[in-house]
Amino acid sequence: MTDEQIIQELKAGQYTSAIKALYKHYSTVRGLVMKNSGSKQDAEDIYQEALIILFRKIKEPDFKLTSSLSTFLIGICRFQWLGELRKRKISVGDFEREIDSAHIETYSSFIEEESKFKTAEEALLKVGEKCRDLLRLFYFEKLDFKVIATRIGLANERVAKNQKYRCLEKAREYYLTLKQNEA
Amino acid sequence: MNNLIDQIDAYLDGTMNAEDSASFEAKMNSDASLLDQVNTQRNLRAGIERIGMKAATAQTFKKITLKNKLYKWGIATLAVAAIATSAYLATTTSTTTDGAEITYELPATNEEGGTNWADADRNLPTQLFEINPAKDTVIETMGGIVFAIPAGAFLNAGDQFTLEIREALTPMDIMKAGLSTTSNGELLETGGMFYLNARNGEASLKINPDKPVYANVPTNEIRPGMQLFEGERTADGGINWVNPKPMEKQLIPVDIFSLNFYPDGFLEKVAELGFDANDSTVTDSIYYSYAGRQQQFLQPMEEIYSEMDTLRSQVFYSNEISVDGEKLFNANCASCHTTTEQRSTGSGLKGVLSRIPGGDWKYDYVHNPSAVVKSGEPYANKLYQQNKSVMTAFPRLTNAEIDAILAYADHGGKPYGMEIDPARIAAIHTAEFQNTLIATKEFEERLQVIFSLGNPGMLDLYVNNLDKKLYQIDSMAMNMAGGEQFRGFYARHDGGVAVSQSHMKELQEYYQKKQEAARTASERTYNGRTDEQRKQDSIYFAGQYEREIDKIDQYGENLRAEYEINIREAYEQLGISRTAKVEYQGGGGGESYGLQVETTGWKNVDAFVWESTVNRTTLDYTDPTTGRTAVIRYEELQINIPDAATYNQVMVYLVTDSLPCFMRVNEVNGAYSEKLNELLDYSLVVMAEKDGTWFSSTTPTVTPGSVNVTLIATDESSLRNSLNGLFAGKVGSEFDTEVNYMKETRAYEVRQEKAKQQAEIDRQIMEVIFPFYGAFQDVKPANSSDTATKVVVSDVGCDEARKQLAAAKTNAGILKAAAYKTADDAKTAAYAEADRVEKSYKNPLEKAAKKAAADSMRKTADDANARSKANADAAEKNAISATQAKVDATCGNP
Repeated sequence: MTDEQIIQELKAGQYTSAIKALYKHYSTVRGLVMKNSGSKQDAEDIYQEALIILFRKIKEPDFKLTSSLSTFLIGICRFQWLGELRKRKISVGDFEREIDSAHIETYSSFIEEESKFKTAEEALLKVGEKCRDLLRLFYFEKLDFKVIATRIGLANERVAKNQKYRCLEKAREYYLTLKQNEA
Repeated sequence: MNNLIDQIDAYLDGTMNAEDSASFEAKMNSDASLLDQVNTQRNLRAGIERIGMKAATAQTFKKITLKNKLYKWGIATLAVAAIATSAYLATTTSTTTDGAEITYELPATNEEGGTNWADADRNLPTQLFEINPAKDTVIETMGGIVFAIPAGAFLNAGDQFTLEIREALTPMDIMKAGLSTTSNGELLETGGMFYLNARNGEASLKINPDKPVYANVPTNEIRPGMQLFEGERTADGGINWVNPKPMEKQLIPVDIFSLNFYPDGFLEKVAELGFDANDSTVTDSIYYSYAGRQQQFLQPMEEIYSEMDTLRSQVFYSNEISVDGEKLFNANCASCHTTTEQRSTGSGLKGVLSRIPGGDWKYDYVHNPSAVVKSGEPYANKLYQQNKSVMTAFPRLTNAEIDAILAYADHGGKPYGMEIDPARIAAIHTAEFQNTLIATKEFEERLQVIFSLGNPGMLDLYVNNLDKKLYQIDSMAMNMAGGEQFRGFYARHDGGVAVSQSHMKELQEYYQKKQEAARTASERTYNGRTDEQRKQDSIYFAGQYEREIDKIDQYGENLRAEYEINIREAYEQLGISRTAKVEYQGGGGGESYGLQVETTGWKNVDAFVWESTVNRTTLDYTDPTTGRTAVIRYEELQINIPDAATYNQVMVYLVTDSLPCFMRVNEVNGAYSEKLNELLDYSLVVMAEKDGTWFSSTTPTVTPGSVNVTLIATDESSLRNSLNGLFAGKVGSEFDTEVNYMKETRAYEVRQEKAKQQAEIDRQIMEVIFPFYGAFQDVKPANSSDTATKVVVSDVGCDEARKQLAAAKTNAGILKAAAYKTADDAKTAAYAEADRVEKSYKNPLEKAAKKAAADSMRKTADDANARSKANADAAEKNAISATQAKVDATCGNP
């Protein structure tokens, strides 16, 4: 798939095929991380994070990709890994020189923006699994309540809808507590 | 409350109408708590998206792991072309499930809307999967069958449908289910069966004939002649198997030149660089010109990585083969086996992977060969017959080690380089390979994966097995590092294109020869290009060196002449008469002057005039005895050249009839200025060059102060003519040399610029065609200024850089030695002059003053000498350090 096709798929919410197509860059990232004191798990984590950032950005109407998808993903990964190495107090060595300096500001702003959402994610991880699935099916998979009800075994559409409000309320409470603790 | 959540959702989704949206925003602006809530909800939605996206990526990663697992079993595959199909195959069990719901209740009707059921329907549990018809879905049954259900595979599927699967894969299950293995009364060899149906509500769905469902049924061994049968329920509750279909897809060769054999993105890049991407002669010649070029970046990396074996195995090979096959082979197998076709005690192991049975056979056999022979397994027995002895057992080798050994031995012992050399493509994208499996759409798809893995061994596998079916070759590729990506191809069960053995042999030879030819041609072009560049540059550098020597000579001649003019004038002003020409004698060439000495005061004049001439400062000397003064003024001329920086080269000359040569005015911080001797009449000549266009300006008379130069465009011959005419019989001929020099400099710069552009094009194309190239390069964007140099650096191999360094050291040494000699000559000459001055006292009274003057001259000479040498040292260091940087960058200095 070309970059353009991948972007179109992402915009259309066709994640699976896009992720499959983007999987080919993962080996580069894995090499990069493992060459620089990281594990396979680290590589998977930062690659996943980079994909999340990419998916979010692609959906923003005024976002323009200024490089190829591989440059973008690998750049984000490099930058994340540099931060992680610093956090772990591991010498970064020559790794820092390889950072694509022209995009540093963009990359760091994306990563920072995304980190805000991690708190929300944390809050959602505290609500029950069923709740989380419901919210995911509604907001992410964009399914209607009828389908959601059958998927997660709720009596009907109305129950699913009510459940959604409750789940979101609960998530909100957790979120506000987490934020308070942060501050 | 709930209403508010919905409102916020609508606002965030952008589904509110303009009016509502505006009033909502107004409310938000005045109500901080509402604003808070909107932001919280926005963040929560983003968090939900994170969870969704993580689930999506994790699923894909999991699928790839699943594929790895499946690949170890070896798998038979078939396309399910009709609904409600039961099939049987040779099978084993597996244990993974993928979120199935299990029920023993039968639905009201069967797939045909009827109510007749077989015993198997009643006895086997039904696994239910909820499928979103808009998405490609892969599920794995409890028995280990993997179904790939493309989006839109089922017609009229609505929003969601349910997949019903019943399976009986082990003999035990088959017996319990009461399934028969007869086809119209004839007994069938069996392994397992499955039932598949899809429903939306009560209604059974039909499969879209254009988008069949793929099923991967696990098996230990792929047996030829496997067919897919459809099940027909019989009145007695059994199933009769009918309509056998071969499970292989036939390949249809197409015109090989209609296929795209370039790496993904190559044509787009070529178009982006301004070439005609629609003209295959252009694109072929570009792509094939990179034959062999991967060596430039792989070789230095190989050197580094060979020292770091563990790392190398992680980066270069997939995790399945992270052990060193070569070492293991040499330690364990080399005494009895070769990596060629040549038999030793045991078989030659080249191509071993394509011969041996699939599945775990290789592990079992290596761990305990006699057990496998005793079990009656045919291939092991064939080997036993051939060798009349059983192989030594290696119970301690791990499966991964066995894989590594076989992978190493399989391709003739040579470790595969990385990257697909364009020469290989040049060899197969030819008329010779028409009507082979290479000339198929199916191969075209595989080639893209081979490109992305950069493993030429995989490509060779297809080219060297033209007589096999594609899926058979796929299964061999699956045994290689990164081969899990061929799982999907293998699953399609693509067939082959018939080719005779003799033709295949011809093609294999052609493949080797053509590859070699393409590589040689590319190397010749590349070396020709760089050799020519180097040759031209060395001619230019030699010329530049000559010119530097000439410049020093000319400066010396001018200095002597000007000193002579100055000292004559000084004597005249002081009222000292001269009987002979006083000439500055470089090198102490004996007494060649004489003058009458009438007073004692003149004695310092030599030194003052000398210093004033060398330093171009005003001489202002008063004879202590006579009180007469000698003044020779040096005054500054500022030469203003508008936009001087925009020209490639600017040369400024002062011409005077009184001196043998013109004077060059050097640029200091972008400004041109020189001090003029009031005794001389100067003309000003400025020549400039911008992108190959010449400019000139001539000012017949210049006096101290400032002069504005207007450069006028001209061509080379009128420039030469006008300068020759203007200075005919004087100094004009020297301008010819200057114009030549500027021309050569221009040509050199153009060459450099071209080389830089070529290097940038190379970088961009190689990034596309060689997947590993980017991993070893800086991924900085092309517009950063140091990229070009970096690219040039990486463009040159380590050996080449070392050669250049040696050459740079020699060149810099020669230049430095010349500069040292010139400086020393000047110093010797100055000392000789000083000696002469010191000895030239005519009475004892003069002696001390003469000595002081001579010492001062010596000191000036010493300083000048030291300065010149320091400059020469710095120049040498600069020249070497640039090339040293190249060596460091390419040879990986620790």
